[in-house]
Amino acid sequence: MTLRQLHGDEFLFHYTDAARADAIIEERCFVSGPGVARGFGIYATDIAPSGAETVEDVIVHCFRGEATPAEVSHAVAVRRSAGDLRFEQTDDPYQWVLPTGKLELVHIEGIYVATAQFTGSRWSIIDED
Amino acid sequence: MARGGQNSVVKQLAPRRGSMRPAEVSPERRERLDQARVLRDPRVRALWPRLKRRQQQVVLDPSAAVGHRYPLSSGEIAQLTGMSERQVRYWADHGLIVHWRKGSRRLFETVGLITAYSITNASQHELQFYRGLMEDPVVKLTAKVGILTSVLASRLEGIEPSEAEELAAPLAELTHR
Repeated sequence: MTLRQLHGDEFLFHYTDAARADAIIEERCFVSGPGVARGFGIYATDIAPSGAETVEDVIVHCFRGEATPAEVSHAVAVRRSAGDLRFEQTDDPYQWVLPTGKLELVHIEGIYVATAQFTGSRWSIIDED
Repeated sequence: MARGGQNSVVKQLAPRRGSMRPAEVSPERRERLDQARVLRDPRVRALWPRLKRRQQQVVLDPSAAVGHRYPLSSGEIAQLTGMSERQVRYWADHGLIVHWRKGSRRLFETVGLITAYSITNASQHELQFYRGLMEDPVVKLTAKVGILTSVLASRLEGIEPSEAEELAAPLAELTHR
């Protein structure tokens, strides 16, 4: 799989750090976070990983500037929907959420596609389903 | 019949595509996820811009330097930062380099490498100050904290409210503890 193949309408991207990315890659275990608009859920964006500027875009548009590149160094590509699960668009044009209720850690099967890592200068795929 | 029964059990246990369930994770995974939470602490975020560009790149991709992803060992932190292993253990055991333990081994995630680089970037004066805080008897420490509090209080008067909040937050947390 290439980065180019992830640039399609069917995918969203959950940006996270190395340890949380490992939990997703190895166990399909996601950490749910409380978002401002929609409460607890897995948040994702349609900003696809492409160049070094992606990191800044994600920090500004998805984290209101309150994150470091180390927190968004991994882009986990997910399907917009699978089975009964469906990411819902929030009022924010860049944000989608998969509601998880009050669950902090969730195993999710069927939405994972691939993970890309930012190495400081470029993105590269490090794992795929 | 038995075979069909087994299959249906397997089918029941197999994760369903598009399914969600609460995750039960190993203690090791829990430790790593806890470290990821510390990475989001405002005090750690404040360290990031102070790292050199080369250090930031290693934090983002340590595999280029050590051949694998996080977690890193004490030896690898020493190799990446230029500290000795003994120094890494010293600062880690005194809480300045964030880490977790697997048995007797200290293991370091992204936040660990960021805090380790911050130690190597600190001046001798700063390190001496931290060492004093860690090793001084409580009486001497109390005096130092008193002076520090007075200095911080005077700084609070001349800065923006948001900056003041940022400065006061660690003290509030200390009180809370």
